[in-house]
Amino acid sequence: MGVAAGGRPTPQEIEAAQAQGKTGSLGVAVARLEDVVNWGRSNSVWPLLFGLACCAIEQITAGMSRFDIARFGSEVFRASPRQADLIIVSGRVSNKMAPVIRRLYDQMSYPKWVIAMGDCASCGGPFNNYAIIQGVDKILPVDVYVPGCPPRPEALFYALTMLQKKIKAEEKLGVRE
Amino acid sequence: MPADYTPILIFFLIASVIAATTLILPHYLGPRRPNKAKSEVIESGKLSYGDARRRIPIQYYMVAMLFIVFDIEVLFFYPWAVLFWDLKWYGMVQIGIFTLLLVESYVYIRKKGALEWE
Amino acid sequence: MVDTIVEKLKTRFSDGVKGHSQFRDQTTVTVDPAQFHEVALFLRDDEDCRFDLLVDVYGADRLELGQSPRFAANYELYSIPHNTFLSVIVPAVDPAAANGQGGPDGNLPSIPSVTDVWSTANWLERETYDLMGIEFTRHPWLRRMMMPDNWVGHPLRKDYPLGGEPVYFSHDQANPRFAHLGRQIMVGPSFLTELPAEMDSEAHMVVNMGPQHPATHGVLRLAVELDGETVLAVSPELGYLHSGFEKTGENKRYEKFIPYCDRMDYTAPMNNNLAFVLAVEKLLEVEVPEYAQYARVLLAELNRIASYMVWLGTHAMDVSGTIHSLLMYCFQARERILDIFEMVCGARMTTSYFSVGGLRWPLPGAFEAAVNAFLAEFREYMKDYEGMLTRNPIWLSRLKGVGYLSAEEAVQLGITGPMLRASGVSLDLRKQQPYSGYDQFEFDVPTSTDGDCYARYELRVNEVQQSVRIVEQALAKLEPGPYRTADRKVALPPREEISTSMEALIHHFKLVTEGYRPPQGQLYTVAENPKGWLGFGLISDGTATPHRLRVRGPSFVNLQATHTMAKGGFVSDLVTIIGSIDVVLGEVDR
Repeated sequence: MGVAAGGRPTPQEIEAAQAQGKTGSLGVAVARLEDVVNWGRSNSVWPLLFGLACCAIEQITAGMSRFDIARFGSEVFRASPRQADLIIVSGRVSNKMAPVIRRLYDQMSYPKWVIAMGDCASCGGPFNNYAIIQGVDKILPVDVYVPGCPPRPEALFYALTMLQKKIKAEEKLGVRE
Repeated sequence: MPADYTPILIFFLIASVIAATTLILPHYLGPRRPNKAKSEVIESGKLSYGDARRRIPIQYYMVAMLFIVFDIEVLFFYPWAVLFWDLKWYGMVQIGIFTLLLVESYVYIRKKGALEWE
Repeated sequence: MVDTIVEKLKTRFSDGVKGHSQFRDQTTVTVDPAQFHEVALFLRDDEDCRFDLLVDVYGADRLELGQSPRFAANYELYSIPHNTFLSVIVPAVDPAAANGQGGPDGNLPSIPSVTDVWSTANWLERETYDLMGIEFTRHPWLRRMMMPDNWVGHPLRKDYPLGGEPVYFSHDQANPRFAHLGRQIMVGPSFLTELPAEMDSEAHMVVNMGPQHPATHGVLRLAVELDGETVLAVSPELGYLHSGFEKTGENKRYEKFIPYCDRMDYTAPMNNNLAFVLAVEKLLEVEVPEYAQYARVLLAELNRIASYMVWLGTHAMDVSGTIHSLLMYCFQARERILDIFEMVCGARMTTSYFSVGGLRWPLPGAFEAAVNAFLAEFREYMKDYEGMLTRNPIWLSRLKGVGYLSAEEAVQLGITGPMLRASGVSLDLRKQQPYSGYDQFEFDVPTSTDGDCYARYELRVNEVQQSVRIVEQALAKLEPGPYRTADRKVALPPREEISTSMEALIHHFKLVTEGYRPPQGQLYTVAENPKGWLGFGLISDGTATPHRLRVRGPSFVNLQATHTMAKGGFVSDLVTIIGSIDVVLGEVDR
């Protein structure tokens, strides 16, 4: 079936297998624990209720009935960091807000992921000045960057599906540092 | 008679198995990376002003106590509701007297203002 | 009218008034700081003046203009009974002249505070102190507002660098220059922020309704002192979204600042565009063709409806807890409007569609049909929303009597927009000093005297109906015509002309590379935004970039009323009140 020598399928192989119409890399009856856990984690990524600026309005719109983020598994946006899996940094990060974001990220329980939504969170956006941190990856380890000012809700979904693919490919119930 | 309780026993067993699984399985499957910020209070990302050891206002206690009392009352309605048809008028009168006593105490509470928050 | 006021001032305070000037129909009076407090009281109380609304306070660093003293504070005043504006410039007392007595930083230029004359000045002066470094003596609590408490320096001063990072145009991971990209740098530890003296964290519990909270509509932090469920004091802390708009504006040409205006009040980008473009057009004295004016009014009113949809949906969600149904409905209506915006200019939210002199492109052919289709649908939507809320007993009991604000308090606090109209003062700038052709339209200005959250709700719903009326009228008035002014020194020529006409090519080249140079002068324009009065202050020094660009965010001033409205109520009322103020943190923090 094309499983690599180490035993774990690479993301390209997962994609190839999915493209061929197979549901999982190892079938349904004999599924590895990692696959089951990764499948569970990726299909119910619950974001933290965290919106900073204009991108937050597009994030809310992504949760509304026209675009509907719930069909990707992100049914609820949790207000408490302890219950959230994903922090979507949507908007510009100012110097005053940086310790707050870092603290919220630290208080989230593992496994956790970060999407930097929009230009301001990815690289500072149009605000190249004293007040804005040039990219949230200076304070948080980012998994997916979404360009746009603001990105359309469909772009956010593309990022979410990319993140889900990344989660499915994690091994040993992997945890970031 | 004991045979009627078999479904309840099965229900209880399944509930226990589910509860135990969801408590024990994440303990072994989930990563453990404690850090200082996690064990502190979540105050929307900022530090909190001291701990929560303050004098708790008495109104919370009043509301909670009264809630418990009236909740237990409602609990007593359930068995009567299940056998409501078999108990006929006799049961109706009994539950009426029970309700009347509790309504009278509710009126007293309202008049005394125990449910007002101030 | 204003001339008599200036004459009266000069006779009454002969040495206090240092001079006056007129620019673009706006009068500016320069006042000596030592007498400023008496002048302020006179301006507020005298029968002919009655300047009861303090619109704005902002500082200016005049180092490059060669004026002395270096720092000055500008006060923009408005008189509600007489419908007049007045600007007052107060130069700051040099610290050297004041024998080195300076504020918390020591050696700061100082001006007496007017917080006891207009309560609005409380936060406006704090912001000026934070960003410009002018100390206001006898201010009740002069602390930093936008920058973190331990920040050194005052960013809007001319000798403070813009900051930021160099932008590389090619990226090579092997190059050690890019080694820091994506790597986490250490963030300073959190520290406990200071509370105002009235709040006691020992006797009562002080809770952070912090920057990350479902009900604060963005990154707003409220320090709430609680006695059980009762709110004793609320102290909002701002600055979590401070993005340096004003400093950015000083480094960009006027036309290039237009996209930044969208990012301030991001629920109503067209209205922000309109306010800024009107300010620059007044500075340049540019005539805008009628087609463009009516198109602007149409799109601004559509955006008002969209902004109120966001407000209604989030307010209903806050009040009810987690029920999202009305939020979904309101955003569905908003999606129809965003589709129209996308048809017009390509962007859903950050539109930047208006440019100085007119519109950026002409309206597309399918515009009229789309707007008509939207209006037909929207009337049904509004019937649904009103049916769900207006006589709903839960809605009534949560909103009636909550967050009362009397008319005097509202004017003292400088509130504008629907909040002021709900407290009984019928002040709508579209009627009082119409701009962009608003005087050609027939619409009412709903007012209420209840002053509570329910009055604000009803008022905004009525305003939506009025906006629909204006949109219909504007659609009927749209006749084909030029969409941009013919003044080639200000607006780009149409693209077809560039390939045929040499002058057009040269104009295009000059405008794109150098930009226009407005005459020297200072002005302040205000527009009626959905949240209140959006003010733009421009000080032009004759170059292509503004010397000082001031933005007055209406939500910033409206948020000051939180403590007055929320104290004595419950925490759940606080949530309702924040929703009814209708804050957008982008324009609060700028």
